[in-house]
Amino acid sequence: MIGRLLQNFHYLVAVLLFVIGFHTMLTHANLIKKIMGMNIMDTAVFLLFIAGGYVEGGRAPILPPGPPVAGVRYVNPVPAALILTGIVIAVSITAFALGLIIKLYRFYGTLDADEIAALRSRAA
Amino acid sequence: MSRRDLVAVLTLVVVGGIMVLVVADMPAFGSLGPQYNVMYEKFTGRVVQETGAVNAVTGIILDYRAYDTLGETTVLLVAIMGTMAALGAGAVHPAAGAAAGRPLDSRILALVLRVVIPFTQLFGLFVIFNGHLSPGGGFAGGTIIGASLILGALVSNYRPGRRAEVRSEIVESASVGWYLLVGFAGLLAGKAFLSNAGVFPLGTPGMPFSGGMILLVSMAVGAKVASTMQTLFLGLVHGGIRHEREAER
Repeated sequence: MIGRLLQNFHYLVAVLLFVIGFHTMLTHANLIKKIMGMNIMDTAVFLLFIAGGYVEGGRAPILPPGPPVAGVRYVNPVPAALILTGIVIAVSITAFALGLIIKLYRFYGTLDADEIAALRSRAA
Repeated sequence: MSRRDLVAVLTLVVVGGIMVLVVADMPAFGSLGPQYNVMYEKFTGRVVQETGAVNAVTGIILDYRAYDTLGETTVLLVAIMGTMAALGAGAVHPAAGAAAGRPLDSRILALVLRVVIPFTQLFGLFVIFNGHLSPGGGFAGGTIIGASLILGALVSNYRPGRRAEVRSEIVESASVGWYLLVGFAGLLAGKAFLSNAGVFPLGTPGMPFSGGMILLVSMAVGAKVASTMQTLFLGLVHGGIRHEREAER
């Protein structure tokens, strides 16, 4: 198990990044920092996908125009194509969340999630 | 350490532990086998003949998965609509133009960026129009052009008139419309929606004008991404400026 983990350390880096992002989201009350944590988690997922597509000794998948050259390996293009959707969604979510945060700040005058919760409970 | 931090750390240990166990059970990094990287041979072997694109990733994104990419551009459109709805677009304060000159007042930066921006945009266009030949494509090139537009907005001190925003919103909607038109060309030719081979001439792979529909779709995606970045940036900045105006009163 340890040997496989060392061999797959690229995936472990992705796990580490994910945990760092998750930690940021859980422990920081500042909403902007929560968004940053979410972006780090996104990046971890992208890294996992792209690392999963690596093929030993593979080149970038820019293929020769003619018939395939024997003996040349390429990196799997499918994860790179798939993760584009993830990147677009990450950008969209970030933009929408930032818009909502501006709105929240306008209304409550603070970016602190705890303070907002306190304000809300006092009003209720 | 507060109780909440303790709960957070415990959650992370559980989540991270499960993930490490999964990693320990995953196939070796870089391996190629019957259960892993299965579709690899199919794609690298056929992309050039079937799509006319030398860059396999672009061939997949803008030909096999062109419908999915249309969905992605729709996601961007919806994100903009949501953000603008949340920020209340269109309600820029009439006096906003005069007072917004505060953020950036460096003559050196303005001069340097005025030289840099055209080259950045040229590079963005190169990345868009070379997407089927080299790494890049509509999304990457659009992001480069969008970044240059944001730089331009920074240099010109945001100038929060509605015109730039309206212009980029028009480009946005028009690019999605252009994408749909390219898709309907497939229907007119009696093939499926957004089909490439048999509808558009594929040309000689590796040449600048090859890949049929890919170049047309790449243009749409590039314009879409660039204008989305500009709209979002202007929208967020204007939302902030509007807030400051309201706070001053």
